[in-house]
Amino acid sequence: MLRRIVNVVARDLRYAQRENILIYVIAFPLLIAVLLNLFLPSLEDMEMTFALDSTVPKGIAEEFKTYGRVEYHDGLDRLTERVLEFDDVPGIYVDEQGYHVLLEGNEASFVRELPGAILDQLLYGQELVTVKMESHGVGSSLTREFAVILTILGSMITGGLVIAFSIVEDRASRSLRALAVSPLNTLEYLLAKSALGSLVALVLSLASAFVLVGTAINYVRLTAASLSSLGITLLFGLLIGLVAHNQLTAIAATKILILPFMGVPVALIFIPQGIKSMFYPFPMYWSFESLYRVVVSTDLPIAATNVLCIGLSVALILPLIPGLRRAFRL
Amino acid sequence: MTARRGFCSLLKQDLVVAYRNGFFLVVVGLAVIFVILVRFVIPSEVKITPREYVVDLTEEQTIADLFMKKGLADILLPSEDALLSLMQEDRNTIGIVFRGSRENPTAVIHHQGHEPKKALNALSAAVSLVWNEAGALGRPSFSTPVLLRPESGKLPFNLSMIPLLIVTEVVLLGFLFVAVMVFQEKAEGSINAYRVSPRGTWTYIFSKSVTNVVLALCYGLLLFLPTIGPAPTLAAVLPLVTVASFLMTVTGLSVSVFFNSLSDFIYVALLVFVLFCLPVASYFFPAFKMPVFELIPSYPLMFGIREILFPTGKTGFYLPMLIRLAAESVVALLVAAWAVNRNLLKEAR
Repeated sequence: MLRRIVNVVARDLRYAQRENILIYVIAFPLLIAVLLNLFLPSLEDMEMTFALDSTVPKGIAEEFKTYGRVEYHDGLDRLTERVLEFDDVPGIYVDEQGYHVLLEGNEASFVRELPGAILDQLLYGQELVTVKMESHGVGSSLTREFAVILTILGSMITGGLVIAFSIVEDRASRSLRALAVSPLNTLEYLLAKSALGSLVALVLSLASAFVLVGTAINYVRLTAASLSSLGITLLFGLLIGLVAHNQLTAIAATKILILPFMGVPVALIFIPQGIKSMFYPFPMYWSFESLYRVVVSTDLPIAATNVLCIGLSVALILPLIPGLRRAFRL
Repeated sequence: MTARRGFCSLLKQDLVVAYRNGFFLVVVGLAVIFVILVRFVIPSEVKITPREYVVDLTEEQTIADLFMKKGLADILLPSEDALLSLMQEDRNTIGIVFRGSRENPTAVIHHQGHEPKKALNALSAAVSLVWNEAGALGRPSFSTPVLLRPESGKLPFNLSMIPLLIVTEVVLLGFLFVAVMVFQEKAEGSINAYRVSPRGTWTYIFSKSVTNVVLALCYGLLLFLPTIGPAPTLAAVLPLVTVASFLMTVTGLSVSVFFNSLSDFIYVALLVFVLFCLPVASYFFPAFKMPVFELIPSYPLMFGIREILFPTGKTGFYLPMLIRLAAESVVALLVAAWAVNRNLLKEAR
């Protein structure tokens, strides 16, 4: 049995190597992680932009830099043009009546009020209110952590795509017919097809986490969480493999299935704690929870969440088996 | 006449292929899912930026009164302990404790520690503003706000997702579907038959583009009509959807002809999709923009469609945006013609 599985894996590997698929599978998701790594610092240190007219005294303009990014514009027309752009950037200019904050009218309330508050603080020269800062010593925002979690879950989906397209390739090229006359059975075929995709998912999840956070997380825990999330990889890959008979239908199925598979984790970032329980039946919820405990709440155990992720994935994969048997007829 | 007949027959063939392979089903399925999400699942209020909470420990309790008057009672907490425990649970929160009295106004900003220094300085200025207003401290403002047009109301979060769903899907569908068609034609060998037919590169490109534009318009209408209704503004949105879909289709054609199969192209498509989605950060945080966003067509497109669907009074942006997209499409079309000719159809020449 093992030999037959290894043979199919070896054949897939040869094909993937010949067509350079392995390079694309590994390189492009990692390139995305590198791109995110370049983009995240700007998002983490997000600061407001103020457009200042040349009429604003130099000293005040310099002081504004301690509150955000400063852009200089010459003349009211140019300033108006800048304020009217799509982003929320207030303009500041001075005339004989004093300072003015130029606004488009659709800005968020803090964008409307902040420039005036800063001007008052700078121009009065003395604090109206004694403000004390208390830092709680949390070194990083959740932006990067959520990016890591979503990238790892994206790696799981990428592994699923490898499984799906490998099966679809066999169906479209009629390799399945050749396999039907070999001693290989459906279970062995599925295990063989799942092996490469699972390996890709695991390697990608660890590598992309390394690109984004380096050695700041416990990789033993991450490996455990990633291994338990492989059920998601299999579920995604097998579902597409079952419903798609060529690459076109595979893409169509991917477009639809990607919604719950990536939508649930994205929703978990934004929705209030109280309604998260509605996602309990989804393995993606427990995978997210495990990864959250690896990346953010590092003192919490992950065994139970890992087990729940595996259990729910298995529970969702098992009903697919009869359909897969019928579809492949091995 | 012959060229037109050739184009029409190829277009009909492409539309049938798209239909048979479930592209229309996908478009309908996606639109239905997104309509359900927008109308029934995504809440109208979602706070994405760090959540600020306020504790009023002042003698006069005027701060709490001010926030209640502004309809912000939900950010008020009863005690500093409640604030600290909330901050420990959620690293995305910041707390401000107002203390003292009108004679001696003070405040403590409890922050997590990862916030940028400049943002905290700005918050400190805002605290003074709140004290001044709530405590009637009587410090007049040095500045006057000048509005270029009347203040507009806040757009519900669920509706604000519509432009985003339009742009991201039109971008992805256009880019991906055309590639899928090319790979299928390669696999089935129908591209070999096309090579020896009199129909040339332009017919091939335009037929694929029109097929994708039809799919994009179906998707757009199916998403718009149940969410915002048959608004007259749709007439302005649909040309944008058309040009954006055309742009992404010819871009997808230019790239896909350099690949052998969908199995390797799909990872490139993912990268392109991520690139096009980067400006989404600006959409959610309008005070944030990276200069590179200006170069990505999805950036003006999502803001533009939002302005058309939910106008705030902005004018003069539509035509320049449409012209820019059209110009980008022409460039992409020329690149696609070269790429298709060289990599897909050259064997016949």
